[in-house]
Amino acid sequence: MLKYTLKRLLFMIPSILIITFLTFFIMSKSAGSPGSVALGMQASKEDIAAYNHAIGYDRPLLVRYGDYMLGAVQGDLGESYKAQLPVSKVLLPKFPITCKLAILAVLLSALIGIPIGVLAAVRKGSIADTGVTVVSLVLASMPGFWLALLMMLLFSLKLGLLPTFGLGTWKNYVMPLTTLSLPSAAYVARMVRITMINELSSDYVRTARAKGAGPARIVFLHVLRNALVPVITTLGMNFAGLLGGAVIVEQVFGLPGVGQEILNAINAKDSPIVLGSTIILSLLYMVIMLVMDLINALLNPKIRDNLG
Amino acid sequence: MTKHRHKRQDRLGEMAGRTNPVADVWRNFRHHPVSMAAMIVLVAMIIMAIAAGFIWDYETDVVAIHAADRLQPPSAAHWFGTDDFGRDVFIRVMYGARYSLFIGIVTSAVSMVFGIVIGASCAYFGGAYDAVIMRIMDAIVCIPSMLLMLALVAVLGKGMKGMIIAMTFVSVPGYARIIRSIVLGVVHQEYIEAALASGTSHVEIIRRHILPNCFGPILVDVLMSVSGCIMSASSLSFLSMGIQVPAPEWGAMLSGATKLMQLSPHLAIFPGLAILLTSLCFNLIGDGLTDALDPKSR
Amino acid sequence: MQSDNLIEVRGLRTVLPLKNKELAAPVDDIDLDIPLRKTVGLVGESGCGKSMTARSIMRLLDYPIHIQEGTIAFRREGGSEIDLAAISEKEMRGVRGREISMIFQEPMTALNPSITVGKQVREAITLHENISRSAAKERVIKAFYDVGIPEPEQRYHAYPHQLSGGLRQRICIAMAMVLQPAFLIADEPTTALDVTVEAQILALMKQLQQDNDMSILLITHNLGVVADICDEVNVMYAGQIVEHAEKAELFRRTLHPYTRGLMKAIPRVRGSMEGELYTIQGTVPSLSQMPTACRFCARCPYAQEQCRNEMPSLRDVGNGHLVRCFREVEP
Repeated sequence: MLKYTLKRLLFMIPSILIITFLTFFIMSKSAGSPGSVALGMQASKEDIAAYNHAIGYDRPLLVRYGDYMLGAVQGDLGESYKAQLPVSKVLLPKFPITCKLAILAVLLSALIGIPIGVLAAVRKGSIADTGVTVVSLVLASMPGFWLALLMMLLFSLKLGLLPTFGLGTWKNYVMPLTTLSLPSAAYVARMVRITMINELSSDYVRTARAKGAGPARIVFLHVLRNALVPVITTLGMNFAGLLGGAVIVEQVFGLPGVGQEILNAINAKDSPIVLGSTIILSLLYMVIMLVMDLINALLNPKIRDNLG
Repeated sequence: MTKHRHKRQDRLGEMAGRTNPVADVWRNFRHHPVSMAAMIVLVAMIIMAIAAGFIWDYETDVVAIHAADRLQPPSAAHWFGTDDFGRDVFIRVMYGARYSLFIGIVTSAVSMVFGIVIGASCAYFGGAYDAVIMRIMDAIVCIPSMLLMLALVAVLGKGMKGMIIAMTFVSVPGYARIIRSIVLGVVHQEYIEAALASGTSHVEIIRRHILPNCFGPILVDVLMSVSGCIMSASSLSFLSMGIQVPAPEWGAMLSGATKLMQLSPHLAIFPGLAILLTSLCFNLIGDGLTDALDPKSR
Repeated sequence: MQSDNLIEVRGLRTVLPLKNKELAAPVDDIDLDIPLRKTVGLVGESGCGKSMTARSIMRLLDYPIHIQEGTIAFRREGGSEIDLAAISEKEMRGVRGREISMIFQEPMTALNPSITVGKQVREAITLHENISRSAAKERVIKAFYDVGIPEPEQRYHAYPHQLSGGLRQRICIAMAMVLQPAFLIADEPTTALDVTVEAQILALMKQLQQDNDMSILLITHNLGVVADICDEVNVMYAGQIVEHAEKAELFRRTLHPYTRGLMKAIPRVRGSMEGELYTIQGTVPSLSQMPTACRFCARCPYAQEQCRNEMPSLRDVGNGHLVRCFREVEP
């Protein structure tokens, strides 16, 4: 397992290189240069060029990329063009909010989705099962921001129960979390249902019944563990989706997280911020997928043995 | 001996189960009332989207400002009410179907073509080519897609073209991965190996066995992804990174509605319902098709 | 119930609702006796209803398949009789594994891939007895030893995928035997195994039966296996029993044309090599179109007018030999 983990961590290096180069390349094509962003609209072309020359921005792309990566390895992600502050200083305070949202949303979606999926699978063909399928399909077809708007309409404007904006009490988290976790929970429920139905028809379930095991024991002790393998992978992927989805949720509910920072940076053509957050978020994603695979290996000895 | 072999190949064809796959699948699909209904609704929407261009004039009916009719609730004259510029929301929602359907279908189709080329070639050639290309694809998947799309749109420019390219770029890796695994999966089926062993040519195998068997799962994927694209497109427009106002794109319309929700909740409801209905239709058809392709899965 | 029988199945009919709301009967009016301490074979092609009969006795039918009619009398340990077709699911759970066990065809998939085999066998004990884990573990290891698993202590912690097919089937047998049930149902226990392993497993079953005074219902399509370990044989065709006799009687005087076909289809190592292996023409009638006449007549080389019009009943032709056929038989 340790060897496998190390191998996976090693494999992240080329991925990170590809990701950073891609982002670096894309952002270099954007109209903004450090000079134009830092000095503002009124600055003259010469001033901007001089500024860019002073910080070495007029060197070839590959040289700048190499420079950037050398810094990045040492934890220096460059300086924001706009705020003139190290990228880490700008981003670090924003991450707790976004991560809190994403982690809570993943946990919630598992806590809601798995039991509902199990229930639907066990009662396959019943009204409850059909209901789960319908609701999850509708949620899967609904853009998150619209769900957010509908909730605002109902809970804030009509019923006056929840605040629409900002951070303060736990109440501020209710709607953003629901917006993020509900569609994800619906997806998880559908997935659990399908894998559970598959697993419930496997031979080992029949063996367990032949031993005299009852339905609850079969579902929770025998089947669930095997059915969760694809679900755990999905949860990991959902986490990445939630980090991205946070851009919208933070925008709608006015939460000062990474998503909002990124959106502002993209609009202001502040490349270092975009680049830095891309690296951090992608790394986070890769680490989470690794953790999910390791969890699967722990749950499932066959996978564990295949890891070598 | 030869006679025996011919018989065996016929059997192989039967096992692959497809003398006429499309007819088989269609027969199964027809027995799915919900998916059939979704199909009918979708066809109606496509006709509506095309007809909207002839019924209403873009300049006078869709974007022209009528100050006197501002923010009216739904009524007989304006079924979905009017927005803050006095424009009829019903006309705008109907007209908006053109954007969403066009973007959704074009993006999915283009991504699929790229995905098939990349995925199938990786599956076919294997080796270093496969390893390098798939590593790049996997790396792109690691970047949160919303973030990547936003960055691309910022570079390519806001608007329809930038949005389609950005969305395509983000969805190709997923396609390539899926198509690669579908192709690999079909290639390693026993009946293919049996056909190879009995001397059937590669071309014949690809034509008779691989393509018909890949077609279904790929189509399901395209349908599901149209729904995803429609939602992504509306999200981008909602963040005013996609189709720009005053064009009646559903996401852009909702973006304008956020500040007016207290006064005119109808502005936040109808465009959203339109998105929901459209992507639901694609999802339901995809669902029905999955079952039709593999009736046993029910 | 006869005093020397462990199980008496009478008029068992297991049905499966079809799409058009009609009922098909994969098991149609079956009578079956399992004498104490005997091995009874249930033979037939795949799809003839032999597995479904076994699962009906175990009440392991997948919804919506269910028992429509019939009784399954079972003599319990103390001598009392119960009808397995009538008791509640909860009572049935107390019987499964403790008094009646079952082993299955596919040792590859019959075990849970993510639980150690030791724990899976231990569960068979702890489900029925209030006993400490360590005591249960000891009994599992003893059971492993009894079924000839080498290094039972190490194997206790193995996962199914780490073991060979033969070992896995031994684990399944250990799981079935660990509570010393009175009755074991073996559903094609050796079909998925190599011939050499098959012989070992059959020998093991024979030995376990003698050691534990147990009755076995052996389901198989292989008359060679029947000849090896059975005392009595029932031949099943299209949901019905078509012939029943003691083994020696059946092999000496094979009466039903279907059974004769099965006999001829056994490849013989020492026979002449010329001539093709015999095959029975045609296939089993489908469940939804079961003829009201003799179910075998479409494939029967001796079929006559009567066979196409009436259903023959299972009649006794002496020596406890029953056959479902109109043809005259020489005694």
